[in-house]
Amino acid sequence: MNGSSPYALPARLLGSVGRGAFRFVGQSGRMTLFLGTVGRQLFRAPLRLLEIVSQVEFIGAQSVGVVVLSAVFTGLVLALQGYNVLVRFGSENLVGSLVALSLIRELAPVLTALMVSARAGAAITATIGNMAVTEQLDALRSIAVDPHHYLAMPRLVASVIAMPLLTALFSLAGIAAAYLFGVSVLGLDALAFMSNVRSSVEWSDVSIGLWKGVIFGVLIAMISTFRGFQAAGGARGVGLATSRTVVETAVLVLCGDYVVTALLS
Amino acid sequence: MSEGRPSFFDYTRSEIVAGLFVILGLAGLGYLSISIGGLRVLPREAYRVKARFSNVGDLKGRAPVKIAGVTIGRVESIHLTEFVAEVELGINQAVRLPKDTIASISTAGLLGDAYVALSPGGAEAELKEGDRISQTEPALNMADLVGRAAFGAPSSASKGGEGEPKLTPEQDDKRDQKQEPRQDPREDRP
Repeated sequence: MNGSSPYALPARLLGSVGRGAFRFVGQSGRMTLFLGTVGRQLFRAPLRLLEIVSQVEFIGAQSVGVVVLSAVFTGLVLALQGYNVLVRFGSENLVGSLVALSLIRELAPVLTALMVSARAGAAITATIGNMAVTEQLDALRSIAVDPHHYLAMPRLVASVIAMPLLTALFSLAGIAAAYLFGVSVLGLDALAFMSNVRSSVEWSDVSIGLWKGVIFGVLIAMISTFRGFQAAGGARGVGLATSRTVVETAVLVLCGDYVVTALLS
Repeated sequence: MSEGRPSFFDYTRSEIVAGLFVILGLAGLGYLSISIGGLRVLPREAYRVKARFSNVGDLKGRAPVKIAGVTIGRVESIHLTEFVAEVELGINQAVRLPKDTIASISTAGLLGDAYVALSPGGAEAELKEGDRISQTEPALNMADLVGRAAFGAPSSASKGGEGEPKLTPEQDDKRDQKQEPRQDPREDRP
């Protein structure tokens, strides 16, 4: 803004909008191509089973605690809120259906994905990003080990295995918490609660939840490994990459949830 | 990744934990799908009968089929044949239905979900796979019922009888009472 031209400021603004748009399109394309590259690694020689197992432990098993904890409180608040509304119509036994359907179809996949991306996705980005800024990825390449195959592929497979299982655990823990709370505190009938849950939940609801788990698993692995590979600029770069992973995963999971629901139902 | 301390024979701690997680997760998934989601692992023993209704109302696929309030099957499909709705019912193999069974469409409670109610007749012959239930009663239209109760006149949409004589409210009340048992002719049978 040296004042030489009256159009300097608008031109700069327009330029930054254009740059932003190009960066968005370019990053989307690069991420998609990255996913393609990692996907191709599935068909390449060493299966890296040990690495996959240890990633299932890291992404899946170590997330069980935080996932179950958030599921319990989600189930409790759904039961409480649902009860407050439904009791006015004398149909408080429908609390079971409400809790089960909202957990299985929507909340379990989305909240599990958010928890896993915050817990495991961020750690994956930090690990790979640290390797990237200290040129360890180049070192791997120099000994003819493709980091896509060695680092990204096992995390993708593990995330796709772990997410549906965690989603199922989230649903079950939430329903169990709502059941215990409803029966012991709200005074709901135990048999009516479970029979409402069973009669209202169809296999199609469960399968939509599982598909969401699989798709979100791909999203989490793709974004967190991609951001790690892209990290540059020392410690600050790793920090930025990590926070981008969490934000981008959350946004994509919430948008993707709508798209999957619209497509599959 | 650190391999963890070697323990439990040949397996590392992380392998054991990952295995536990997968088994636990699959068990949870199985419970969710089969017990809560009602996924059929083994095909249920069921035979199919058809029924044609002039109006199925709010009936949806997978709606229950009930006798005396007990669920004995599910609606498999609903489609249009010759401008009437043809509903395919999957009936539990253990339940044998007489040929003169009447199928009607009812609602659970005042505004609940629609289901197919069967009232078995007394015939010796039984319905077999692919047979059609010949006597059916269409879904009751709640709005029409409320309208009739409130204004004492049948709405033309539900009756559809152009030549129907105009009834005074009194006659109409009587007619309604007479009609009531016709809804379920076997209600008072032992």
